[in-house]
Amino acid sequence: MSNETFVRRLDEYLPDQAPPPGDTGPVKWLRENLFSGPVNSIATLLIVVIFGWVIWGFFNWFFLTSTFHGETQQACRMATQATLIEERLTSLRSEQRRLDRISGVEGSAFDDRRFKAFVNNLGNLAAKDIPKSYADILKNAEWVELNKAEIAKYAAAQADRRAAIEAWIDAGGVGEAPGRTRDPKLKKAYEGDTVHPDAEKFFVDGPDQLDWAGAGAMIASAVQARDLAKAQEGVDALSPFVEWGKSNSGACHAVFKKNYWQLLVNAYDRDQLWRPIMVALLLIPVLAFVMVPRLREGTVGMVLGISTGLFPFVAFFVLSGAALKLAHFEPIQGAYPNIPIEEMTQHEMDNALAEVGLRLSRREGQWVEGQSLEFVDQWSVKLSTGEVTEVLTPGFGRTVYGLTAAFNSVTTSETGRLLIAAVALAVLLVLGVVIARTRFGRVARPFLRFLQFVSGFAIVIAIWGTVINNPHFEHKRGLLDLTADPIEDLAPEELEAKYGAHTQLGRLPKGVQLTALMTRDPETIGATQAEQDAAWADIADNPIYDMNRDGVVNPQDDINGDDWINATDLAESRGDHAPGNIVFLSHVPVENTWGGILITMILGLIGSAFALRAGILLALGRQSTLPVVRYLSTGFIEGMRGVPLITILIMSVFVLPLILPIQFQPQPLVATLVAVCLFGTAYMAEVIRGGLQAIPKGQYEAAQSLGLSYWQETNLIIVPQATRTVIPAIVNTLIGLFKDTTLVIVIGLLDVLTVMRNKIVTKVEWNQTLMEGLIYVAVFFFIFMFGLSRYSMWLEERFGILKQR
Amino acid sequence: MTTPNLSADGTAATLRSSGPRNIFATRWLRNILVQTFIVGLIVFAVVYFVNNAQVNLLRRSGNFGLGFMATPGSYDPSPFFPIPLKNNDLVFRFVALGYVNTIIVSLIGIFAATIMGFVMGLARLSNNWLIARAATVYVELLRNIPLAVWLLFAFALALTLPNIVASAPISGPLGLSISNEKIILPALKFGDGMGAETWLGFAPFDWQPFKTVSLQSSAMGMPLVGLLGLMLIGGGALLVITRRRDMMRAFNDRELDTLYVWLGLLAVGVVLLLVFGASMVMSVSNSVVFAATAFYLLLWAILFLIIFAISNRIEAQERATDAPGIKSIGIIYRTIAGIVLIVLALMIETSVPPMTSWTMFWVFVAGLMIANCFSTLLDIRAQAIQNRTGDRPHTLLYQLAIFVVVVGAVFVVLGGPIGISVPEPNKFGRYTANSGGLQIVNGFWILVAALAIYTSAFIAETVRAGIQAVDRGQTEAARSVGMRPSQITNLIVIPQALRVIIPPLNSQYMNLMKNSSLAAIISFPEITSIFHGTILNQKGHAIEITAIIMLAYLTNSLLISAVMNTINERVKLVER
Repeated sequence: MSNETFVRRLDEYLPDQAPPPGDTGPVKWLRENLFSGPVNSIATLLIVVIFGWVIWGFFNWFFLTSTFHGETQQACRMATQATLIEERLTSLRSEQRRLDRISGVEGSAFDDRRFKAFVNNLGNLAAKDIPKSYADILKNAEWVELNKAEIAKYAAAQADRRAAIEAWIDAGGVGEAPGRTRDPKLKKAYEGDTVHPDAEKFFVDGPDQLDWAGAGAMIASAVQARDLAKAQEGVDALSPFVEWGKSNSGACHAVFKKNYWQLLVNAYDRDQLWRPIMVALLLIPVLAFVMVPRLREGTVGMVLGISTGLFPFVAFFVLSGAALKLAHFEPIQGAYPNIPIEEMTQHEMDNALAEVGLRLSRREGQWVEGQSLEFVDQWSVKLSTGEVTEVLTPGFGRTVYGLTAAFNSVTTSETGRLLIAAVALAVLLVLGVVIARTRFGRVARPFLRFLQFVSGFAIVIAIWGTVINNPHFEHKRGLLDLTADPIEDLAPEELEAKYGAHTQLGRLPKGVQLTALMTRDPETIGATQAEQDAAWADIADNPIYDMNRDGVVNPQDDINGDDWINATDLAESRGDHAPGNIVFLSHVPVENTWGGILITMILGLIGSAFALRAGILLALGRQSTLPVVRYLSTGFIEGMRGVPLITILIMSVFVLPLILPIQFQPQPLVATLVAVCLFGTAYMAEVIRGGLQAIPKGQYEAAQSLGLSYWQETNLIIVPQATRTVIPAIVNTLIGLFKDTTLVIVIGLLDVLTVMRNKIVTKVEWNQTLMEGLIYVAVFFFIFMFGLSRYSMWLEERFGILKQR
Repeated sequence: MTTPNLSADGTAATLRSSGPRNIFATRWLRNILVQTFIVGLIVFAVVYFVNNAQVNLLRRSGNFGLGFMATPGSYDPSPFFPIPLKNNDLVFRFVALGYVNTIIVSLIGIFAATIMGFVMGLARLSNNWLIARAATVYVELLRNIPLAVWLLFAFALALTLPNIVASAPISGPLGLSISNEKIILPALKFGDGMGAETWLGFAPFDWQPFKTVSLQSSAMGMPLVGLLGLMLIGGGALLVITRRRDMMRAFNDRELDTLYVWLGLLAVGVVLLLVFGASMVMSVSNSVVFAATAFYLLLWAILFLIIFAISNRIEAQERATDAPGIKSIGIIYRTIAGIVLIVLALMIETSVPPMTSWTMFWVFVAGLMIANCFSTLLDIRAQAIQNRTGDRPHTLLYQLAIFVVVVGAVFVVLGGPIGISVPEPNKFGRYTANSGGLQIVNGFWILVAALAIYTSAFIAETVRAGIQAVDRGQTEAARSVGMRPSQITNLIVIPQALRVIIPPLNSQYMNLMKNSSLAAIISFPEITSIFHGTILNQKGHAIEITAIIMLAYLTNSLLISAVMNTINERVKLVER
């Protein structure tokens, strides 16, 4: 047996062969990933076809055939119409053939009712719509130049009219004021009854010498004369136009190009734009505080933390202004005062009697119309029938009612509100310092943060979020306007002695005084005819009549369409006829002015900030050993989660004003905020409860064995771990909350979607562009939400490393 | 809730100290004090709000109560099944229509979303690179854009369809057409055959033993049965769940108190309904009609509850044993009970003449139930044989035969009451309620499609997570045993993944149901949109309306939860 060892040297091996061409590079990848089997190959091809079809269709519509230019969507619409006219003529011919075949009589189609409507339709399209659209395009192309000229013309006309008014006043003001008449030609040009005359001219002898209007007229007359062959000739003449239309029938990007600013903030005046911009700047430190953990320490951390706590309310103040909005309904009575009868003023007494009348009318038989009342003491009244009756029976009810009345009377007075706001502000600041500086603050942080938020809400609700419905405050011009009340309990002669003859006008700002003087019968406001004339004369050299305050009188400023740009327009554009301006920050009414991404961000940010804080508390409450706390928390969470957000929004907008006292009628934005906050809280509480349940029991036991109290254990051991484990779920909930803010569309608050759908694409010049508008809104949401979800993944990764250690 | 000195004295040492005792250191006393304080706060808030509401309602001279539900409202319902309404019908009927529509939309949406979600979830895990990426794009696009935008987008797309009048809509055979207003399909028409009278000599369901009080003007019929019946089914389901501890424990993986809170919410709703209902009965002239209808429905509901309870007893027995006898009894019992309930409901409905085509539909449903009963009995027998001998006899053909025979028998006995109704436009080219066929307004399919597609993205993520949660060893083991990929997916992976998938599915379904309230923005007549969009404007009564809407959604949520928990009970891992 030989003991040979067979050794093969390395170079004796066969040299490495290149792998077969199908097994390397992109081909290998394709074979493995896309065509690994017959089923897979078919699926791949199917997906390619479907995706290709969808993507190509979208690309073609959105980019290749889209229209970027034009002041309105006329350009886009004309493209559609041009294509339409050819299609309709074709279907008209086939319809004619069909009807003729059915009846067997040549030309019988023209007696068919449907056919006639069809013909009319086509005739209109050819004769009117296409020439008009074309003219509009030309007009738009030259828009800037033409507009300048027109504005100059318009301004000259205005000046002429002012001169005429002056002359009229100098002549003694007999007859109708000359300014009321208007130039019919200008009216035509501005109200869009016809196309612009210059554009019409341009249209007729345009650069291409294409008499498309003539072709349109030819089609129209031919179909009216039931001669489809001749109509076809017209269509042939229109063919370049149709070609143009077909290649431009895609999306209309002008809708975004011209309206992006409205999507951002909706309708802030130009001179108020600093407000959203300032809010955006203030957001930077807040986001820094939230996102960069290092900035949460030390003095920097304290300052940033306090400013974060303050941010929503400062933002609200900056955006809406401090002025109080007028309420337009008459109060029946104030609160029933819980004070002895001898100390009541006459005003309080009247209110109390009215209140008692209301209360008695609820009890059957105790109150009939026309009865009179007299207070015996604070709690009982004597009816005119001689019967003495207790208004409220002694006991618990009286105490509760007294407390309610006391609360209401504090909150009715402006001083009381200011006091509440000041106290809340102080609490907010002190809490900020406590959280940052003290051991207790560190221990009780979630609870204190929640309190901070609640006091912030108190500020908003005490001042800016509510409508003062009290005649005593109707003259106020702003938060810091502490001037006296003009509707004091003075006799008319005393009033006159104090304020002069114009008792009702004395306190109004000048613009509104002028408006009142110009528009009302002088006698009703205690003015004379001469003063009214002077007011009309004064209109000429007062810059306040320029609505946008940019020094240029723009015809669009004339919002009530009376050819006058005056104080009425100003008041209407501000949303209220009330003085509500000047002293601190002017009031910007929420209903129609705010909007766009601004509102989306306000709702989302404040909602999520509140939800995070309150959600922790609620989750703890749900795990509490106290049955009352547990059942209340569970009830709240389950109730909120069981119903759609829309119903909660409806509830807060319609029911909140009902269950709150009359002086606390929330503005729609505040009501919506409340709804979004509560809704988000319920979901967040469930998420955080998941985190709490994931914490091993050992953690609790270890904390207890160290002798930590419940709050120490919760806030130092449990909550930090619990929130960390559920970060992805928290961010998912926040994304959901942001998306859900679009539901305010049902209550008419103008978020980004509602602005697009209810304000932009409903304008005449932008109709039929809903799809494009929605795509832009969708792009906004996608970028924002996708970014958030990636951020949450990053966070998860980061904390995941921490967890593994 | 905290007290200021709580953090200082939580230790046992403080508790045992012999000095003057701080009452907050005594745990039970402290608990009672804190809870009393909270209760007092809540009572005060409630009293305060109620007081304000009274004053405000007086000021606005609004009255409180459900009386408005029985007054005529003005609404232009698009022709949509299943409830024919007049323009100025009673508010109550609009609401019933809305509720039924909510349920229909939710059910169809849930069905479609589940299928699409599973497909997309599997596609995300596909080995095919392109399919996986396509599914990812699908999911991310849908998840990151709000449903309201999708809904309006679908709405805008539907508007680009051909105009229903101006030009010919897309049309097909049998009157099928698609336009920017509605989709019109040929439909099966019940009660359009030779007629029951000619075959049997009398109309089988024109039997009116309860006609002592005329229901002529109420015309409530099925919607009311559906509305109240569903609410009471929820109550019945709960009763059953509380009776059985195993289901109770599994109730959505929540604790017992959740259940009690649900019960409480439901009880509050019922009490509100009773109180409001009483005020409604007091305030309308045709109160007798309401009372009578409500009485019949109550009887029906009680009967239903009893039947349901017994059925559950039997089911509990079935679970305890494998004996085929008991299972057979169960299935026969349930069939009979279902038919009895249908017949009773029909008696209430048909006391309002004339007999509707829906009556025939329900008769067919009863026939299907009988067929189903027989086929299940066959299955039970097959199972018994398999248990005994190991061979399972083939049953498929027999079962098919049973269905054909039974349904055919019903068809013949009723005189062949099925026809095809082909929609025909009138001479102006318009479709009206009398045009025949099934006319579905576009709002319906837009809503269903948007809800289903949107929710399917979330379900896809759930499915993906569930499948990834299945241990890799399971797949490998299955492959080593020699299973084919389809077998691995169907027999190994999905059954295990379902345990993870079903609990989150529950909340997705609830979300879908709640999101159906978005119909308000495309004006589809669903309960929120009818109530909030129309009736709130016409009648006021914000508090009552909000309460009813919330009650309706809470009931729906409860029903979905109950069903899903029952399913979860079946699939979940049995732990010992």
